Amino acid sequence: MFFKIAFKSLMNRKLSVALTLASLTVSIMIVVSVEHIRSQAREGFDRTVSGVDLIVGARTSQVNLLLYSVFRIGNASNNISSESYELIAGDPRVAWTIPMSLGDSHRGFRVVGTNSNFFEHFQYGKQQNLMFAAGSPFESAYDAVIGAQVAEQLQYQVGDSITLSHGIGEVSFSNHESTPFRISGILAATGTPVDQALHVPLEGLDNAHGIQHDDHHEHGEDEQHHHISSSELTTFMLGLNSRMSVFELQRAINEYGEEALSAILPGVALAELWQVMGTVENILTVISALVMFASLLGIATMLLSSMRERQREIFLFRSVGMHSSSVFLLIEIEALLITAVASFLALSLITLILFVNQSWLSQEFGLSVQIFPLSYNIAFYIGIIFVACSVLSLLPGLAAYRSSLGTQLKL
Amino acid sequence: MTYAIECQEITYTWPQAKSTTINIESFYVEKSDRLFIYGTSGSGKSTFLNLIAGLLSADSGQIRILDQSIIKMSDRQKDRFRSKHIGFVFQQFNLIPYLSVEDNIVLPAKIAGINNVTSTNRARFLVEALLLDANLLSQRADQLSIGQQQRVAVARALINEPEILIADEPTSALDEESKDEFMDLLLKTQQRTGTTIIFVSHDKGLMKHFDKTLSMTELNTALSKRGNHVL
Repeated sequence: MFFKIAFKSLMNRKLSVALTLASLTVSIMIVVSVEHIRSQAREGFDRTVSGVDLIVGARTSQVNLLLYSVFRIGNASNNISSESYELIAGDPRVAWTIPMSLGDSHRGFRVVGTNSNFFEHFQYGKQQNLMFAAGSPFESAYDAVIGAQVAEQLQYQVGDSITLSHGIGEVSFSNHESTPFRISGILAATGTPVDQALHVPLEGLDNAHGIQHDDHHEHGEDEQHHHISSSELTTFMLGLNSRMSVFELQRAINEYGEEALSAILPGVALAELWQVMGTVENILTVISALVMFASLLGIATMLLSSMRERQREIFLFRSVGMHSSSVFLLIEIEALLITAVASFLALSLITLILFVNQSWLSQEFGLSVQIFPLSYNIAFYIGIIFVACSVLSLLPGLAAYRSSLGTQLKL
Repeated sequence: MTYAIECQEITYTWPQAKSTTINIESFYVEKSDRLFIYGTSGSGKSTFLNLIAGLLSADSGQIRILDQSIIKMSDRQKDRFRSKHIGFVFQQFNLIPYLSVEDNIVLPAKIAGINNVTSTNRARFLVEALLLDANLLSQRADQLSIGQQQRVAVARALINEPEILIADEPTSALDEESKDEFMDLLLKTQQRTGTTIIFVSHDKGLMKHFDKTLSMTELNTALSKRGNHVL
């Protein structure tokens, strides 16, 4: 009965209720989207690399090294000499390495020169190996394996021929046109930067560069096995035989005298990078909390200002036997009804918006978001909104209660 | 003979008032009586009705409604007692405007926890007795004419089958014709239900409908004392 009365009472004040509802819906949407995007970004972020013990590059900050090696953002300041690489790769504690040479692009996507270790050892998410959606790893020096998004966006299929450009712009004036690569495989989507990269064998990349820049000597077929010694790497990832030796090896690399190198633990670097973004995250949370608070105040104001016109109504409820505490309850129910409807609207709208923009988000930002935003955290936030709403509507509720306590037959 | 209402030696003074507002030595109403109380504004009638209804607590004296002392009741008990035993009809704006006529009529029954079948049957009886068109039931209360609203108010006041009906100037917003029709229906319905009616008005023309009449000035001795004081 209370719900019916509360509902009809709200319907009686359609315009002000609709405005309050709209403001609350928008602010719940802000709170939920901020939290949803934050958690999805965090999740995607933590998924980018796993199973790698150390990442090595020219001496730089760990965040910078992580950014260019894993996220393919920015550039390395220096390369690693092949001597240093071979020395570290040959260390008995090292089980495998994934060498990487960065700096080329193909129609806006980054090109990664590597070897087949990449497909064998690189892991993302919860220790998941890369899977092939089509085709197979490198079979010759001019094979290319492309990420899921590259394939989707450029409509490439296994067997297609592509040429690389020097540099990382979308348009480049120096194309390695005389050395076309053939797409040998397409990786399954991972939701990580791997989806946006093209992977080619190091020897193929070296040859492309060799032909481009005439000062390089051409690599013969017989030299393929020594390609590493003839080219420089940008970075490499490595896995250890025993994780126990990770700090020992990290220190050894950082203190290596012949060349200024940095070795980072991906987990630690990811945490530091996330902390950098943490400030933004906190600001967003604070702003959304304030927006939320403002619109909850809006509900309280709306209910409070309706009290004057509702004095007669409250008096009538009292005269037909309704207790003052029930009058109080009625106001609270009105506030909670608005909150419930607003929460439902907000969640539905977000789901709809994400559903409609899903492919755009994944193409433009590489964000693969979960469509339905209801997580434990968001349920918790909505719970807090309900509590805050009932606390803030104590004010109009108490006003109604007090006005009903003083109720008399005004004759 | 038990009384519907018994009051003895009640006094009440408004918190900021200089002199006593109400001083009633004795006031008795028998069951099924139709009592007309004549009173102008300022005669203390509203304070008196608030005391009987338990919405104000007397400073001293005894008030017994249907053999129960309401002085000793808690607020919640008073609310419950009131919703069960006393119905009210006011001058105007008796109904919750946004609820339907039917919801308005059965509201006190729902609050008192009377089951739907019983309250629907009672509502049907009252609607018929008060000559209300059944088509009106689903309409919003504020779409009715004032005459219709006052009859709906009577139906609502009687839904819990209270022993006492307090009607406070229920006809003052009505024109002469509707006034007579209203009085006629109210008293005919009263005959069928046997409810005790306390009808308060400043309109002496309505006295003719009642067996017993009383004037607030006779009842409230505080008025004459106050008069003396002023003189």
